[in-house]
Parts: sequence; C-alpha cells; structure tokens
Amino acid sequence: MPKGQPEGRFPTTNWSLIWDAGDEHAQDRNTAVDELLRNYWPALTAHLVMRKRIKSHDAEDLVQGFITAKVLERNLVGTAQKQRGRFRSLLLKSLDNYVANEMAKRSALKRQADRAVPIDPQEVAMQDYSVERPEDAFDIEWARQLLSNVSQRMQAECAANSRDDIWGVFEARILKPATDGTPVADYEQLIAQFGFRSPSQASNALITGKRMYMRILRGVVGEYAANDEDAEAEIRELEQILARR
Amino acid sequence: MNQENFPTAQLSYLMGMDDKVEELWNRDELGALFAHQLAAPVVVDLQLDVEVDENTTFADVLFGASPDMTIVEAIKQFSKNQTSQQGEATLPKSVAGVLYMCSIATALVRAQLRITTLVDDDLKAKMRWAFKQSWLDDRSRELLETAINGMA
Repeated sequence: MPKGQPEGRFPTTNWSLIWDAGDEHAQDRNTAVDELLRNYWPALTAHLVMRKRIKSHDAEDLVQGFITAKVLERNLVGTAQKQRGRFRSLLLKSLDNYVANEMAKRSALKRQADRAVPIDPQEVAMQDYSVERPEDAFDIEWARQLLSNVSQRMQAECAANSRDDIWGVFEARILKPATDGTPVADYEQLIAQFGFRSPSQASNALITGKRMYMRILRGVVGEYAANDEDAEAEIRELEQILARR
Repeated sequence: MNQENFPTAQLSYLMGMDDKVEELWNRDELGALFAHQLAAPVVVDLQLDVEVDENTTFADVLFGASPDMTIVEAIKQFSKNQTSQQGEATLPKSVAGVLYMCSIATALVRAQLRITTLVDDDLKAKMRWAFKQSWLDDRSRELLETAINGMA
C-alpha cells in the first residue's frame, strides 16, 4: 500500500495511481503522473474550453497547474475519500474553484496579457471538442476517455489469455461500428474470419466479449467510484449524457 | 482508435448493451446461422453417449436415409434447451425452434417414430410455423412438408 493511503475500500488501481503520483517518494511517481494526466486531461481541458470559454492553450496550462496543485499536492484524492462523493463531480468542482482563484490572482496582479481571456464564440467553434451542450463537455470527454481505456484493457486481456477471437469478434461486430462507423461484420464474415465451428461457438465468443467489456467498464468506473451502487449510477449517468446528444 | 471521433450515441449503446442472444444477430442473418448449424459437426454441440464420426454434421443426421435416433433425440434436446435457457442460450429462439421441429420431423419421416408428446394438430401447427420461416433452406422445408403431409 502506498505511503499515507488509509485502510478502506479504495485500494484500487487508480486510487493507488493517484496516491503514488502525490507521493514524491513513490517509485513510479512519474509514470503515475503521466497516466493521471493522460486520463483526466481531455475531459478537464474540454470543460474549460467549452464551458468556461478559455483558450485551449491556456486551458491546458490551467489543467496542468490544477493537477499539480490540487490533485497531487493538496491530496484531492484524500478529500474525495473522506467525502465519499462522486470523484468526477469533486474533480470538476475543484477545477472550477482553482480556475476562479487563478483568474482572480491574475486580475489582481493586472497580468492579463493574452492569458485566460474569454474568447469569442467563433473561436470556440474552431476548437476540437464536438459537443453541442458546453455543459456536457467534461462528461462527454470523460466518457470517451473511459471507454477508450476499457477497450485497451479488454484487448490486452484477450491477448494475454490467447482469446484474440473474442476481441476480434467483439471489435468487428460491436466496437468498430459503434466508434468508427465501420459497417457491422455480418455472421458469415465472422465465421470465415475466426473459424467458429457452430453458431454456439460464435455466439459464445460474442456474448463473452460483451460481458467482458461490461465487466471491465464496471471495473474502470469502480476505480474511482465509492462503491458498487455508485459505480452503477455513474455508468447510467454517463450513458444518459452520451445518449441525449 | 481515435477516441475524439467516438460518436456519442453509439458510446451510449456500448455502455448500456445487453448480452441476450436475441440481440446478437439480425433477422437477415438467421438463414446463415441455421445453415451454419446444419453444417456443424454434431460433436461440437452435442453431448453424445454413442460413437459418432467426428465429421458427422447436423445435416447428415437430419437428412440422412437412416439416422441414428439417439443423435436425433440429442438434437431435439439441444434445441429444446436452447429455447428454454433464459440468458444462457446461444441460438436465436426461431433458429432453435426450427431445429427442434426438424428433429421431430426426421424421426417421423425416416423412422416413423414419434419423439414428442404434442398432439397432431399442435405438431402440424408448429411445423407449419417452421416451414414458413423465410430464411429456411429447401431441404429443411421439404422435410417438414413431408412430415406434415404424413400426419394428414
């Protein structure tokens, strides 16, 4: 268990990762910080650009400062555990507070220059984040990152278990059509590609793939959710956010 | 994979998807599934107490001149289990249902043996339902038709 981590119900990968990132003595601190930034950066930056209308390069600076100052140095994770609240909500609220404080500091110091000034709507439209409701930007980017992580973990798990057929049939039948708009691979294509000897084998591979995906999804969400109930609520909430666009 | 291009509606589907077999395959794939089932070696899907060539297919049994009735019974049981296993089935119900009726028809036509407790009217109605499936192949349709006519 990383230094300072309390006993309890959160000794999961991401919590450990965040603890390691905040612990300057941790062996894998750099790796932990890198992964932390990779996981949360897109959602946090999207929120600042779309919701707060901050220029993207400035938003990135603010996110980096936020993660360093709040998540790592001020132990946001410990706060989240004490409050038993949604980590996603806490992260967003903390970011907003951090940005408001930073803006106030800059204003007081009259160091406006070209940093963190509101930008016009046309410039916002040119950003990379394709969301119709700016208030959803954070949650949508969060969900995208989360599902991308789930896919990567599932592919790795299938490879580790020599079940590339499960990954292959899931990817061709469900994942790629859902994510890239690739045409759905039909039954005969799958049989030819993976050599299933009967419909039961094909169905089993696809059912196993779907269950594995959902299991890993629950696991990934569970790494930052307080408990199973919170994890299920988080999945349903992200599903609804994505569905209403 | 470029996650920035994830269409969000489909992502929502990924998060909420079910794993029931009925939602795995489309209606226009049922013919391919049934054809694949007929071409499958029986040893892949059936637990058999009799010796059987590992290459013997479901079609070999159902359409052969003098099939082993133990294997026909096993096909009937396999397809029946498929229609009754909630959440564990691996065949769509319509495909399993047609396979079930074909096994009964085979016993009737090839061995004049009745392996069901269904009365004639019910049996004929169910065989007609199977016969009418748009994706059904000619050999199966002919088998069912022969069985229906034999009960007239």
